[in-house]
Amino acid sequence: MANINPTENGVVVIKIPGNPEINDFKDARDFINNSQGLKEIRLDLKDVSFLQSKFIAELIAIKKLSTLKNSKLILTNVQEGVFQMLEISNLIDHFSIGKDFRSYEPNELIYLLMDPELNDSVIEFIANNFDDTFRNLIAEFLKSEDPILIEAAVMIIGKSHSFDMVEEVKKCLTSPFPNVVRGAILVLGWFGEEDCKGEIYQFLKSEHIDVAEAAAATISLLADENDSIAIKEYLESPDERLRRIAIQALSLINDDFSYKFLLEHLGREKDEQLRTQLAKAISYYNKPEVPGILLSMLSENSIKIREAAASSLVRIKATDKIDDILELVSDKDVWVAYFAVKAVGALCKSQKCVDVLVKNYPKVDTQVKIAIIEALGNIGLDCSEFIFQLVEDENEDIRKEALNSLALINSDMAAEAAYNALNDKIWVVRFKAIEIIEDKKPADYKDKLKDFLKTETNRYVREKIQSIVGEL
Amino acid sequence: MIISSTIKMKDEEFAELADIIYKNAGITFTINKKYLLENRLTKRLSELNFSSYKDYIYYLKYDVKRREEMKVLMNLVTINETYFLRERAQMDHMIKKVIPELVSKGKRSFKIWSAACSSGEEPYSIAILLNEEGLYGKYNFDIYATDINTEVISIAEKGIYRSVSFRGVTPSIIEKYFVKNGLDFQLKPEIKSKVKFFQANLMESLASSKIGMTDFIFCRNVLIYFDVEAKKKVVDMFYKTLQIGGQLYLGHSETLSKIDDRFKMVNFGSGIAYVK
Ligand SMILES: C[S@@+](CC[C@H](N)C(=O)[O-])C[C@H]1O[C@@H](n2cnc3c(N)ncnc32)[C@H](O)[C@@H]1O
Repeated sequence: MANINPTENGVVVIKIPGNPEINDFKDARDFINNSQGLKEIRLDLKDVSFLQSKFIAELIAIKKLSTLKNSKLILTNVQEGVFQMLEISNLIDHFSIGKDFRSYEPNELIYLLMDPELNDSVIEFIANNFDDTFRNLIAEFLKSEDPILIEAAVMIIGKSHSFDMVEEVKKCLTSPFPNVVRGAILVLGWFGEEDCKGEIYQFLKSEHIDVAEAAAATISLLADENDSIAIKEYLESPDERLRRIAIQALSLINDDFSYKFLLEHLGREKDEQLRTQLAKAISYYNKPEVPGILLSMLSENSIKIREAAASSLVRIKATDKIDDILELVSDKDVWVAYFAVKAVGALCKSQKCVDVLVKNYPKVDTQVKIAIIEALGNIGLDCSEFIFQLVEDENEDIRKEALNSLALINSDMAAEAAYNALNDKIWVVRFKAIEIIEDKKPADYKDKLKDFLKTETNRYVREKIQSIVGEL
Repeated sequence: MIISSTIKMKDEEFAELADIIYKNAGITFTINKKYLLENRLTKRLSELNFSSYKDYIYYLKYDVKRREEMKVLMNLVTINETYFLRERAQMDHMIKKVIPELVSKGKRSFKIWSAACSSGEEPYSIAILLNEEGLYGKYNFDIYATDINTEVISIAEKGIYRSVSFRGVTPSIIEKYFVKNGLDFQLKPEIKSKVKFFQANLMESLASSKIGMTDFIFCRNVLIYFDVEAKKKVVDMFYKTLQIGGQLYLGHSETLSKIDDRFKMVNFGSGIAYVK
């Protein structure tokens, strides 16, 4: 017998038994038929490991019925064998598929926690539905010797804001398992447990990078002005890793002291990796001299440092440095040029920038060409003729970006170009064309897309269209 | 640099990345797993100074280092969960039932392929059980183990494990085959030397040609990540590379139903084998 469980808010869960019979599906249909105002139907297939072909027709019937009744149908907890069956019958695209952890007993949830794909969502689920049953469950976890379960317990305590269990979390700081320690450090940070800060400092030196990074994050959450000074000491360490963690912690603290220390350190640090990191760290401070510092780092020899400096210039809005940045557009390193173009696109609104980009276009590598087209779209000044010819370029990414930029600059041309691009042989271009059509909504576009769907074979493009015109 | 929040992925970027991953490894990501990709790739993006997945996609397509980056990407997107003696019934079936039958027909040499071995727990479990059954010395066994992920292969080659790898393994087995060193369990050399590891992508036909004709294939808990088309391709490759009468073992939720009907399905009670 199908187990039917309606809830108050218009959601019904219908559970199909392990070895289903036709009647189970009929029950489901009758129920749906006789109900009013069902918003969502969850057909729970948790216990069904395999579906005979004759049931496929039943599923389709339920789908049709729910569409008719304006209810959303979700197949939940679908097992591999059933999934494969739906895929082979070409039905996968027509059903929404999801997980519903409520169908699982606590001990079954343990099993799901072990699945790295589900681990996070199970933790979220338990935290959001935290009650005495789950309280007992995580007490078990904490007693176990399995690092995955203990970590899950700690994260659940954190995410459910169960402050009363904070002592359990503190105990985990001495766990032999690095993942558990990391979790405990993070949760103590969320809980604002300042009296643990001293103890957490020692983890900055942990041999496990995840633990050290978590310590840096938590210390920055709990920091007052003394912490920047305390961490500054670590910048002097001969241990490159410790300096790295110190830079990280300081940049997360993000106060005036930490800025001063990072800047001083930039004058001394020789290690390439760390200078790269410093370029990024400094760019997170909103200080007038930062753009100048980043520009000066662009004349260093290391490509890595130059790339980091250039990409940081994109992030900060260094409008007054636009002339310097424009020069980098023709830089010999592809990625420096790439980031410079991105910065120009983000900062500039003048014709001069457009001219420089267009002039450089023929001389640069493909990635930079693509970035130039994107930047021209962001700048938004009319250069639609230049871009329109690129819609026919032989490279698909150029065609795609050209469509995108055209849409930003000139709506009418874009809609026309997008319709033409529906015949492009490369799917990414068709996908972009559909996005543009969806955005511009030209007359009768839904009908045209429906028509187009009949011949489209690429799964991503199909999904995209279905999401616009509605399923089945 | 710590990124406190993940970089969000646009639908378009998701489709392109999913396609790149699918074409390269057969692994399918559906849109409801977008967050998984975000979680796994955010750090890599920031290492490369990128702020969007689009930048990363172009890096994968156009940069001089794109080949190496593809390996990095594969290491990031594969799920490598595994443990010793997982779904042991199939191993027992091979060792206690099929091998003795073949021996009685005069066979003395066996080749076993663990085709998605992750960090090595599966092929080492096979070696341990062969040893427990006293078959080493009597007959000749070649165990090959491959995976697309270069990081797990290097863990496997080291043979050092943590307690999570021993879910449900009896202490006596652990004691007999591992040396405990702090939190580490080091596999003893007599078992370690029994397995040969190398990187191989099941979507490339080269994978099987490196192994040659084989008697047993373990390909467990990996086809679930593939779509039907990719499954068919891999299973066809297995078919061609198995000896007549050779056995293919899949994960407990995986099935060849409608994928390949050339295999004979044998349900031996506690598990299933597909026989050529
Ligand atoms: C969940 S593990 C399974 C490990 C082991 N067979 C077991 O059952 O415990 C799946 C493994 O498949 C590997 N894999 C995924 N796609 C692959 C491909 N195209 N070729 C080879 N290995 C692949 C992953 O790297 C991962 O290590």
